[in-house]
Amino acid sequence: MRKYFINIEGVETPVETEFGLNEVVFKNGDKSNFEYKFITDELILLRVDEKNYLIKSEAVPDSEIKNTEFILEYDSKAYSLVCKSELELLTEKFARNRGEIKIKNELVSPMPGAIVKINVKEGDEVKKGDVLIVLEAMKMENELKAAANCKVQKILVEEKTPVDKNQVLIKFEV
Amino acid sequence: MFKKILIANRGEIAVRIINTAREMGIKTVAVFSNFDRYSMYTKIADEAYHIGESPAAKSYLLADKILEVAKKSGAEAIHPGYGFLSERSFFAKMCNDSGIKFIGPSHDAIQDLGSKTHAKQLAVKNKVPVVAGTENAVKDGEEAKKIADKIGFPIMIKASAGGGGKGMRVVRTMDELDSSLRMAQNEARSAFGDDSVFIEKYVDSPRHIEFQILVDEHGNAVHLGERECSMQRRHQKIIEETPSAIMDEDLRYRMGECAKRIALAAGYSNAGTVEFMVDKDKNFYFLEVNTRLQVEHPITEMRTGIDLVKEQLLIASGEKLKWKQEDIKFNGAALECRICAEDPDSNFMPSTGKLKYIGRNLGNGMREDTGIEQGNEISIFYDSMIAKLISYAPDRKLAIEKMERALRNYTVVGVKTNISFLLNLLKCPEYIEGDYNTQFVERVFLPRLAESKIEIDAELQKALAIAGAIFKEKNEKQTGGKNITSKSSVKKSGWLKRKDLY
Repeated sequence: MRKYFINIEGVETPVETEFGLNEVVFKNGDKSNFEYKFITDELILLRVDEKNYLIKSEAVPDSEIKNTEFILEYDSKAYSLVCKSELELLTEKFARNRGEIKIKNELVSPMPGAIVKINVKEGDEVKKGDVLIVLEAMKMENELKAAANCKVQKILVEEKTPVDKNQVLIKFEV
Repeated sequence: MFKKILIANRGEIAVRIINTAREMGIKTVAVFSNFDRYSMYTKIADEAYHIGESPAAKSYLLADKILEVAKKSGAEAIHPGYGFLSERSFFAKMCNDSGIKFIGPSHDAIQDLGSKTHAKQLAVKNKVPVVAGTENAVKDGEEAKKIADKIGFPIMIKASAGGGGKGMRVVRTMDELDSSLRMAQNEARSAFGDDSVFIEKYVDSPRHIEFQILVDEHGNAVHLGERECSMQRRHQKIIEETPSAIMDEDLRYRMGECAKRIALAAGYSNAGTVEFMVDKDKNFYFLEVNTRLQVEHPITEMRTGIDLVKEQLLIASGEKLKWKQEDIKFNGAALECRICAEDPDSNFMPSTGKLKYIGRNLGNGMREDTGIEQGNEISIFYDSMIAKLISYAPDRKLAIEKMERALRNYTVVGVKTNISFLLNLLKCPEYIEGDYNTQFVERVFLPRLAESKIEIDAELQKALAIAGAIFKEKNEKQTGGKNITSKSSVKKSGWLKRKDLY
C-alpha cells in the first residue's frame, strides 16, 4: 500500500489516500476503482469509477522538494496540487525546523528576448507583484514581476541587451 | 487564370492559400526560412524554396529574394498573405514592375490608404463619416485649444506616425490639454522620430466593426457584410464574429455603402477590409482600410459561402465580379477564436516550446485553419498562433455552443495556451448577450477573472488526487528513485548540498 498526503488548491483538510493496485481508499473511508493510460508523459486518460477524466500535468520547476507540486488541468481549468509521501513529509518537517528551505532567490528570464526596461536598482525593497523588468520577446513586451517581497541584491543584466532563456537577471537577498 | 503562384508567407495563411489554389488547379510555390524547412505549408506546396534565416527580416521580408524565386520557379503571381510584405506598397510595385502580378491592390492604393491622414481626407471627400478632428498636424498649444473648443471634450491626441498606443493621450478638460500635448509629442518623437500629432474627438468605449469588400479591376465592388472585432486585448483581437449583435439592415447598408465608396475612390481592387468605430448610439466613424486578407476572414466565408482567396485570384487574373450587391446572401452566424501559445496567468506572455501533443475533435459545424502539426515548435521568431477555430451554425447561440464544445475538446501539451481564457470569455454574460466593446476585456473581464474562485466538487477532488499520485509515481520511475531532488533545488537548497555529509 502506497500512502500519499494530497492537498488540492490549499484545501484545509488534505486528502489522504492509500493505493492498492487499481483501488484507492480515501481518508474518509471512501473507495474508488480506477484505471488510466498515458497519452503523453504529461497527459493521462483516467477513469475513476467508470467516469472519464482527461488530465494534463504541467511542470512546476520551482518546488522545494522535487516531484511534490503539480498543476493539473482538467476541462480547461487548472488546479494546484501537492502530493507527498510520508517520507517527504518527515523530510520537510526536519528541514523547516532547521530553517533550511529557502525561497527562490533569483529572477530568471522565462524566454529568450531583449531587456527593454529595468525598473529597480540594487538595494531596492520590492513587493510581491512589482514589475521588475520589461522583456521584449516575440514582438511583445512582457512584464516580469516579483514573486515575493524581497530586496534586490544584484542586477546582472543591462537595458537593451539580449538574454537567453533561464538566464539569471536579478539576485535577491532572502 | 494563373498556372502557378508563389505564396510570400508562412504558417496557417500559406496553408489556407495553397488549399484554394489546389482546388483551382493552380500550382503553388512556397518560400521558407531555416525554421520552416519542414513546416506543414512547405510540405504541401508543389515546390518549396529556401530563402534565408529564421528571423523574418532575413527571410520573409526579403523582397528581392522572394521575387528572384518567383522568376526562377515560373510563378506568374505572388500572394502576400497577411503581415510581412502584404501592405508594403514598394513590394507590390516591385512585383508588377518585373511582370509578376501582385495579388492585392495596386501600389498606389496601398500607399494612399496606408497613410492615416490621407485615408481620412479621402473619407471626408467622399462623405464617409470620420471622427471630428484635425486633418493636419497640430502646431502648438494655442491651436490645440481652438480645436478642442470647436469639437468638445473628451478629445484624443494621436501621433501621426502612430501605432500600438504610443503617443496617444485622452484629454478630458482644458486644464490637462497643455501638458498632455507635450507628453504626446515627446512620446511620438522618441517612438517614431516624428513629433507631429493630431487631435480628434475621443469616442468612449467604441465597438470595432469592419466590413469585408471585394473590388474587381473594372470598378465593381461588393461588400460581404461586417465582422464584429470588439473582443480585444491591447488591440489584439481575441474572438471575432459575424453578424454583429448591434447590426441591423439599415446600418449594414449605410456602412457597406461607405466601405465600397472609399475603396472605389482610392482606386482599390482585390479583397480588403474597411474598419469602423461604432459608438453607443450606433454612429459609425471610418478608421482605416486594411489592404489585404485578414486573419479573421474565414467567418465571412462561412456566412456568405464565398471563398475569399479564390475571389482574390480571380480578381487578380482580371476577371469581373460575378455578383451584384443584392446577390450576396448572408446565412447563419460564425465566430472565430484564435488559439495562441501564451499564458493568460502571466500577462499573456508568449509560451515557446515543442507541441508534444495536439488532440482535437472538431466535428459538425467546425472549421480549423492551422499551419501547425504535433511535434512542431512555437518559436520566438513568429507569432504565437497555434490555430484558428471557426464555428458556423444557423444562429449565434448554436455557433457559441459548438465553439465551446470544440475548445473543450482541444488539448495541447508542450506550451501554455489561452484555451481556458477563451472558454471563460464565451461563457460570460456580456458575451452571450453580445453586449461588449473594445474596452470590455481589459476594464471588466480581466479584473473579474482575477477575483474568481476555483470550485472543486468531491468527485473531481478524488480524480485529481489519483491523477496527482499517478504523475508522481511516473516521475519517480523516470528519475529512478524516490525523494531525489531536482537539479534546480540542488543548487539552491543548503540542506541538499550537505545531504552527503549526513
